[in-house]
Order: sequence, then structure tokens, then C-alpha cells
Amino acid sequence: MRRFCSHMALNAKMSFKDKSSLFWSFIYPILLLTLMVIAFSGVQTEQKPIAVAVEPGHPFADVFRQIKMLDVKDVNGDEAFTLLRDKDIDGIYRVDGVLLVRGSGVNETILREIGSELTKVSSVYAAGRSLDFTKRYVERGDQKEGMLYVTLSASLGMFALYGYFSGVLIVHHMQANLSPLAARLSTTPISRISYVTAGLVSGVAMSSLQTIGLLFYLKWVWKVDYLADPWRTLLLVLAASFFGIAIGLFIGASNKWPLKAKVPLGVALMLLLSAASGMMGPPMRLFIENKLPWLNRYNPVNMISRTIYRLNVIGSTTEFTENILILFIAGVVLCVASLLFMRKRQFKSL
Amino acid sequence: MTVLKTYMKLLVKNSYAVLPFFVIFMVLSVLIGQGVGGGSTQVFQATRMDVVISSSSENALVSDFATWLESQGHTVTHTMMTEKEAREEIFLERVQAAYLFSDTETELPVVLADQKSGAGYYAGAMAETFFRFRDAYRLEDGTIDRASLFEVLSQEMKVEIDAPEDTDGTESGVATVVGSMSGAAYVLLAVSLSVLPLVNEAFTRPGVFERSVTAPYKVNKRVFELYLGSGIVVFVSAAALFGLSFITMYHYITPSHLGRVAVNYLAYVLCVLAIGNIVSNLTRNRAAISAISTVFSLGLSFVSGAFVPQELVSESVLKVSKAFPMYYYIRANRNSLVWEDMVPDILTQLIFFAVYVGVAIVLQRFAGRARKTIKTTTSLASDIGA
Repeated sequence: MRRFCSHMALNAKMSFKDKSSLFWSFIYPILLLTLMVIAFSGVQTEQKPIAVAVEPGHPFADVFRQIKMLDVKDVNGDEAFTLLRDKDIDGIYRVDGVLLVRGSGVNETILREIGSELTKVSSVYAAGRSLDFTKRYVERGDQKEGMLYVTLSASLGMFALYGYFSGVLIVHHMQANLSPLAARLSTTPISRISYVTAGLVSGVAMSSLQTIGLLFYLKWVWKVDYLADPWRTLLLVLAASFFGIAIGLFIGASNKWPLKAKVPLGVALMLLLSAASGMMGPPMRLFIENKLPWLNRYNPVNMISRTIYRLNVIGSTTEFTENILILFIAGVVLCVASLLFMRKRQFKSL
Repeated sequence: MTVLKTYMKLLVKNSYAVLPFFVIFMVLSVLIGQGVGGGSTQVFQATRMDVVISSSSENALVSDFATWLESQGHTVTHTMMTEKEAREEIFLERVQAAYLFSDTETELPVVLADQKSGAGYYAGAMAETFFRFRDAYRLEDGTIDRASLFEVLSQEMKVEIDAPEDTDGTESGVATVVGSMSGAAYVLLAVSLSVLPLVNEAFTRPGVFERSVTAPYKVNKRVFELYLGSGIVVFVSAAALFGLSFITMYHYITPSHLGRVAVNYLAYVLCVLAIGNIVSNLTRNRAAISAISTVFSLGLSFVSGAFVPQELVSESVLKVSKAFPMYYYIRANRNSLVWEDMVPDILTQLIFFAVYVGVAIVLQRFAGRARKTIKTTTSLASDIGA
């Protein structure tokens, strides 16, 4: 046990001394999350009024000015056309009753909807009926489905797997044919299983602490609460960290590629998985969901990010147990496979 | 051409490390582009939504509302679900909004959607409009004059799409161009900022550097060949990425539109080449190179609006992004229907390129001096056996 503890302390010490590990585990996630929150913080505000021009003499001109959703610009003729083509306004309500727009987006649809509604309203009054604008007909329930929540949960899913780098490092400390340090260690009476297990435990602890730190950072600094269900979230983070390290162990042990190849490979692979999960905006995630649904079902970043979102934003435990079990079992399988690759063997030369 | 040959040999030697990285980023580029594919039409099409209506009993109100939504082109699914289940459906992006009707007439139906988004506003406004008009057509006996109601509701404002005479292409085509070319821009930046500094770093290692400076090889020629090698890497990557983006774009783009996009891309590629050379001169630490390339490329893409439309990025962040060429590259692609609208942004990128080349040259001189000083005072003499 003492040997195990000393190996754990050694692993933790080496991780803290390795500037590269510290950067990828702590500084990079904070930098990226901060950038994301700052970049998308504008998305979280209310839907902005839609800029529109109304030609003089339009029958609904005065009504348009009273609608909060519209930002009516008092321009006409060529000036209005210029604004439309420069994308400073989304449409022009022409005096002939036609709405002129640039394309078929949501803003243009809302403009048409407002124009159509006013046309309908005048028909209703012309038919001798009246509309009750004081009465509320629907209750609006909000769903925090904004881009910020999707991208942040996908990023958290990615960072939760950054234990990968610890996993790769453990192997590079143990496999004699991978690094000079490992070659020296292989000549010492060090217990391989104790060293790997200690590395695994310290790696899981550090990776979990890093993810929890990020969750607190988002909650306290940016007021994005992904800790509404702390215990289940903690369990998920532990399972994710274990799985991340297991992938690192497996990729580290299964081939002879140098560290300089395995680190960028991990970074790129995780970027790809997190992009599929929505880190680079919802369109790509939707494309994957529609065309390759199986990919995102078993995409570990997506499994983690969705579960974090479900637990803390929707308050749902759907797929929680299933995802934890999948991550844990897959992690165990990868660890066993890695140990097989790392079993004692003799090298002709090093 | 010894230096260039060595440059290429280094690339080939390290291909096992570079290739998987490159392939993964290529896949990423294709996926980013595919995610934003759009139709190419000059006819206005209102936003169509997938909505779910949850009601325990099939009453006239629910059925009228569903009929009207369907007549508007929306896809309506009838299913009984709790609010939590509806939230799950919206989260999974299977539907954009859920209309939850309660058992009692007195309780108002709930419109569940992201109320801060345009779609959320639209979903709520549609329901509000329908129920208000339905209420207006309630007869004295409490029944609804459905014929008149639906006649009024079918009235729509006529919409035309503004297509300037000098426009070549469609707005939806532009959306596809912006999406796929932004993906290519991000990947090119990430790959170039990783590969160029790493290969250049190999030339500064002890031994290689000393042999280089003592060899009868002109410094200018050596630097030129290093730049040539960097250029080959960047332009070959750029060509591959452009080819992949073309797969996504070719349905929606005319040859002249493609030409304009290509010119804009060329200006951006030059900027990337220059930035790559700056980073090469700034650091020779492998870990730092990896960190800089990932943070810089991803961060810049986020703030410049490469992954989401620029109008969704907050104003203050966009102001920061104006200090980098990617913002102008994306804006030029957004204006790519008219050549005149693109020109200022392309020129701005060329100015960035000129500035970056200047900075790279200055850095190269300083970096060279620093190394020369260190080497001559410490190891060089012994290394060459003097």
C-alpha cells in the first residue's frame, strides 16, 4: 500500500511538473470556455428587434412603429434598397403591400408573419368582428436551448476526456521502447501493475478535479449552472475521467508512435468528436444526428455532454445510468487491453 | 535546393504524425461544410418548423390548431408527453417547439421553446395569432365559424426576394459557401500553425543549425527555400480543403461565384502562410507550438464567426475579431454575390498579409541574431571542432 501511495504521489508530482500537461488540463480549457462564453454571450440576450424599412404611405406604417419587435427605419427609395443590400435591414414593407426581403430566414419569416397578421386583422374588422388584444392566449415556457448551452456542454464533454493525456504519459513512463525514462525504469524492480494503477487513480482524481473546477468556474464566473444535480454530475465526471485515461492507456500502449504524434492525435480526435456533439455550433451536430445517428449515440463526448445538460438544465436522468455503465465498462475493457500490450517482454535493443 | 529537399524529407519522415492529424481535420472541414448545406431558390420560403402537440384529449381547438400549422407547412407530431419529455425532444433538436395543452379548458396552453431565439418567438406568435383569431370567430352559441376563420387565416402578405441585377447566385448558396469555406479556413489555420512551426523547429535543433550556418549555402537562399517549403505545405493543404469544400458547394454555386470565392480564399491563404511564419519565428518549443496552434485557430474561429453566423457573435467580440483577417474573409464570403462588395474585404486581407510578412521578416532577423549570439558564445566552436 505504501508503494502504491508513493507511486501515486510520484505520478501527481510528475503531472504538476509537466508544463504541457498543466496547460492542456487547466489553462487551455479555461481559455476556450472563456472565449466561447464571451463570443456567444450576445446570443443569450433577447431576440433583437428586426430592422425594417417602411415606405411612406404604407397603410400599416403607424402600426409597425408601435410593434416592439420591429426597429423601423425612416428611409425610402434607393436608400432603403442600399440598406437591404448592405444587410442593415431585413426587409422593406413596400407601399403596394409587398414585403421585399433578401432571403428566407427566421427574421424574414417573422416580418411576413407580422405583415400577414395585420392584413388578417383588417379583414376581421372589415367583417364586423373584433380581436381581443388584452387577453393572453398562451403561456410561454422557456427552454434554455441556446447555442451557448450546447457548445459549453460539448466542450465540457471534451475536457472531461482530457485524462487521455495522463493515460498516454503513464504508458510512456512504463514501456521501455517508448522513452529513455521508461527504459531506465524497466531495469528497476518497480511493480508495473502498482505503477499503472497508481497512475490511473491519480489521473482520474486530477482529471475529475479539473472538470469540477471548470464546472465551478462556469457557475461562479459566468453564471452557467451545470451543477444543479451535483452528485450525479460528479459520478458522470468520474466515469468520464476514467474512460479518458483508459483511452490514453490504450492508444499509448497499442503502438510505437512517439508522444509528439499521440498528443496532437488526441487533440484532433477529441475536437472532431466534440464538433460532432455541437461544440462548433448546432448545424454540424444536427447533420450528424440526421445522417450518422449511430456516431453520436456512441460518441463519448456527446454522451457526456448530453448527460451533463440533461441532469443540470432539464433535470432529467434519461440515459444517465446507461451512459455511466457504457463509459465504465468500455474503460475497463480498454484498461485490460492496455495491460496486455504492456505486459513484460524482452527487447533485442532499445 | 538542399534545404527544400530536407524540408520535404522531414515532412515525409513525420508523416505518421502529420497524416492522421491532417485526415481528422479534413473530415472536420467536410462536416462543418455539410452542416450548413441549403437549398438554392429565388422564391421566398417561410421558416418551417417541426413541432409537437401534446394533448390528452382530441378536442376541436387542438385539431383546428394542428390543421392550421400543417397548412402553413410545419411538420406536426401528435403525441402525449410531459413537459420534461417535451424539453428532452427540444434538447435533442427533434422539434423546435412543443405545444402542451392541459386537460382543463381554463389553463392556457404552454408553448415550450427557446424564447430567446427567433424560432421561439415565431412559435409563440403563431399560437397567439391563431387562438386570438379563433376567439374572434366564436359565434353566439359558442361554436366556431371555421370556414370564415380559415379563410382569414389563409391570407398572407406577398413576399419577394430582392435579387440585384449584378447578383450572381442565391442567398442560400451564399450560406453554403460561408459554412463550408469557414470550415476550410479554420482547418487550414489549425494545420498550418501546427505543421509549419514544427518543421521549422527541426532546422534549429543543435547540430542541424550549426551544420547549416557553417555550410557554404547562402543565407538568403536557405530562408527562401524554407519559405518555399512552407508555401508548398500551406497551398497543398489549401487546395485539398478547397476541393473538399467544393463537394459541398457545387450544387449551389455558379462558376463565376466560385471564382470570386477562390480569389478571397487565396488572399486568406496568403495571410495564413504569413501567420505560420510568424509563429515559426516566435517559438521553437514543440509543446508551445501545439498550444498556440490549437488555441489561436479555435479561438479566432469562434470570435470571427466561422462556426456560427457573425450576427450571433456579440458586438464587442466582433470588434476584437476585426484585428484578424479571418473576420474579413468570412465577411467577403457573405458578400460574395456581388464582386464589388467583396473587394474591400479582400484588399484588407492583402494589407494584413503585407503587415504579417513585415513582422515575420523582423522576427526572423531578431530570432536569427539571438541564436547566433548564443551559439557563438557557447557551443558552436566546440561543435564544429575548432
